[in-house]
Amino acid sequence: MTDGVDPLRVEEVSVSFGGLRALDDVSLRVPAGGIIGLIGPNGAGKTTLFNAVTGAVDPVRGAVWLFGQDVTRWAPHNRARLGVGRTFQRLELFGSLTVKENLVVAAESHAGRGGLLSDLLALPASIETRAAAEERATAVLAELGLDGHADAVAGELPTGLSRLVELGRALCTEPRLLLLDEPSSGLRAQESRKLADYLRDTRERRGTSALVVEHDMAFVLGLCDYVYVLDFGRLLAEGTPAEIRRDPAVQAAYLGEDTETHAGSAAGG
Amino acid sequence: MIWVQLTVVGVAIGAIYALAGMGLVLTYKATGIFNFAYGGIAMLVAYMYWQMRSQWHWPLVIAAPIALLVVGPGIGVLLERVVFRPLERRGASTPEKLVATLGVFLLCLGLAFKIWTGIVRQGSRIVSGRSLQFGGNVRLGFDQLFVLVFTLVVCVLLWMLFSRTHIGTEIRAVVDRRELAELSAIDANRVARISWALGCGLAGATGVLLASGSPLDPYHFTLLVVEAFSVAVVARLVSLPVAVAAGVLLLGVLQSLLSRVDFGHVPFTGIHFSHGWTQALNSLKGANISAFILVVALIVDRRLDDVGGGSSTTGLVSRTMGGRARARSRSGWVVPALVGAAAVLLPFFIDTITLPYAQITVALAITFTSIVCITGFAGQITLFQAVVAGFGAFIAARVNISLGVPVLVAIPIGGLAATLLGIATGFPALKRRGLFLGLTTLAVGLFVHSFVFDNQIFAGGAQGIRANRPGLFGLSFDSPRSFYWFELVVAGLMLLLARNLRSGRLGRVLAAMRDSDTAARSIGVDLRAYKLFIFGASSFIAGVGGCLLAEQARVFNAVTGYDLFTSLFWFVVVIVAGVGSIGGSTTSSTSTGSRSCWSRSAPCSSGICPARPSSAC
Ligand SMILES: Nc1ncnc2c1ncn2[C@@H]1O[C@H](COP(=O)(O)OP(=O)(O)O)[C@@H](O)[C@H]1O
Ligand SMILES: [Mg+2]
Repeated sequence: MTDGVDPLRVEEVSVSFGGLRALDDVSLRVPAGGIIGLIGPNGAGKTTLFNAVTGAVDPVRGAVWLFGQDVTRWAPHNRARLGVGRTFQRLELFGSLTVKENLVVAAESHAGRGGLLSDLLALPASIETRAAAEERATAVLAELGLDGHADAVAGELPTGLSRLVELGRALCTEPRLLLLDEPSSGLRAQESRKLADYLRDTRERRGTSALVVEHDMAFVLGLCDYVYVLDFGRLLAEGTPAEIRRDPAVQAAYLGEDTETHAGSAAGG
Repeated sequence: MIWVQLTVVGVAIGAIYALAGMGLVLTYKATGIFNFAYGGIAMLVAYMYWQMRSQWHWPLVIAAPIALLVVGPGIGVLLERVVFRPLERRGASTPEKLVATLGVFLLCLGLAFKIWTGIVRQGSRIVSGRSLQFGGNVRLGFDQLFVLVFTLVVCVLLWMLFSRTHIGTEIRAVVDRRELAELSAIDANRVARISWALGCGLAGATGVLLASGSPLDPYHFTLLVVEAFSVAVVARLVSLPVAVAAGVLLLGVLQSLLSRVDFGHVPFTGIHFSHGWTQALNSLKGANISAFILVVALIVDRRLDDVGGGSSTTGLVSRTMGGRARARSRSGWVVPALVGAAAVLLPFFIDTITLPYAQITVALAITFTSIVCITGFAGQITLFQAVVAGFGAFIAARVNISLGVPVLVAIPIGGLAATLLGIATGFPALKRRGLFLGLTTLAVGLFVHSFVFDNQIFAGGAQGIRANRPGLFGLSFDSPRSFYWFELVVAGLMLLLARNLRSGRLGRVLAAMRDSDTAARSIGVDLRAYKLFIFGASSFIAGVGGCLLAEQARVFNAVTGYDLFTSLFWFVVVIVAGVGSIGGSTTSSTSTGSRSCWSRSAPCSSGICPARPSSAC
């Protein structure tokens, strides 16, 4: 937690889709061991920011630093291998695989690369990797309370479970930084609380940092050390949860948009 | 003067291709379906026109409007109602729709054979064959003039439709943003129906014009879809004026001029090539120039994918072909073991006349397995697998004949050559998904076929290359039975490879890539490596299968198969049989192999099975 390098630094990043400026000059920082929130109304550019960090979209300007390296021009899989795990707002499970296989494939991908020919000819090295990966997957399934669903086909799960499986898949790559895109949507209130506890716990045990996009204000303000607010692709505000709660600009923009759905939880948080 | 004359001819032909391109694009843009039956529909309408004019002797003023305005659009409306609307309603995947259009294509061929047989006819002229004489000896045929005017009129009508009418606006809205259009009050069925009618109407017009005064047979327009598509690609699938220009200049004029260049003599330099090369280069002139254009455009033009839209590859295969999660049962070895035993013992139960079909079946099973591997396991659509198989067979036969390499060594060499072809194709295809990946492979296949197989220097011309059967330590696998058993051993090895591609880590990663490439990247999978790998591995299997097919026939002859039509047919067969499983490839090859039993009487299937059993077996 004290190592000096920030897991993530986003420097003045802009992303355009045709004429639409989805991100405009956004900078943010996830310090080692930090759990950082990113909030904002629909279409604010939160998911796009994740995509810029993981390499799914290319920024037109700005730089992305992961663990002290400038990765702006890196391919997505190489960024992931630095230790970045991600979940998706629009679920991206491997639908034809079982829950456990979803996790195993991630653990295997983390454990070893190359060896394509070894895999093709089913050499012993590949079989060892597999055993280790299964062990890891089993452990993560247990931690998330998913053991009962290990053999279910991932494509047939309800949304709440799917989100947990995505989280489990990300965890199987032993990430040092987690990017979670609306992890609690589709979860019940009690499940959300468990998820928050779990993230805190993971930070304690493994020092995993996280950047969390969330609609549920109570969830974010309760969990995060520090929060960034995006609006129309721009940073509107940043600060500790207490500061964010008081910020008039945030109240105007964010609560104004989603008053019906979120005002209650924000007040409660 | 000859150049001016050729340009005139080229402009006319190019204008027809431009029409074809417009029709193809129109349907594709408005419905998301790439119509592989395009050439088949053109052929049917051309035959109908011929029937009305030459058989029933109907007057032009009745026959032409019926063919152009009733038959073509009618086929379109029918197809939309009967085939594509139901598919759309149940959310069919890209390969399913692809296979449906291929199925329609085969149906067109079958119909044409049934009604008009395979005899080559002389297509009826739409206008007289007379021509206007200009100064010098440039002639402008009435038919050429008609084509130009017709194209112009169609362009103007389309333009008016799109800019002036309500339905035109609706079609444009659908083309621009399909998801948005669905939300607004646009009647998607009506838009689809009209786009199909327009698309098939233009297909029919193309057919009638191309057949006017020219030979006409059922296979005649098989590749029209490729020509139309290359026009469309150059036009970036969006711009009608560019489509016209591309058709006219590239396909028409260039091809027409090229046909007159004598490669033995390079203009202005006085250089003469040696005789062999001259012949080879000259034989290229007949080659399909659209293949070349397509390859270049598809490789160079990265942005094409955007136009293709997010036609989701994800879930496409898993839905059609069943996930792999289900397919795990403890008794899984029983059925394969029984099938294997039956296959080994088969020669004792059938006579030597029938055995060649069993030989073909085994070889086909191997090539079909390659399709299962790449499309079923990894979700990549490839439409050139027969060409890959042919390439393997070709290289193996070449190194055996020309370099004296033993056949047993030549087979893996052929496989590796196919692997290289696969990887070389996979490379530009890395960025492409779904349909556009398929079309890229199609272009490469066409390219290899026209520039390697059809080239006398390489592929030995019409006689082909002798393909010897293997031997080992003085043991020859030449007799029908021993060759069959040799095939079985090879097939066993290939199935083992395929099994490793499906199970274990590789299988999981490939399935992951198929289900969601975004997520696969997010866990650190290098998609490029795996895509190239699966292209290489499946091509190896296809190449080895191709070697066996050639050895079965004792000759590699590209004229009798290994072409795109065969590739498309194989793709259909494998998808229909269920590409998710290795068992699927075995089943489908058995039925294809046994179907070729009656291929001698049914001309339609002659192009389907690349290697007719050699009577020498
Ligand atoms: N691939 C894309 N192509 C075009 N526009 C996009 C794309 N992804 C996102 N956008 C647009 O960018 C804006 C921000 O989207 P997004 O990052 O998903 O917002 P959020 O996650 O905050 O709800 C939206 O207006 C959205 O329509
Ligand atoms: Mg989002």
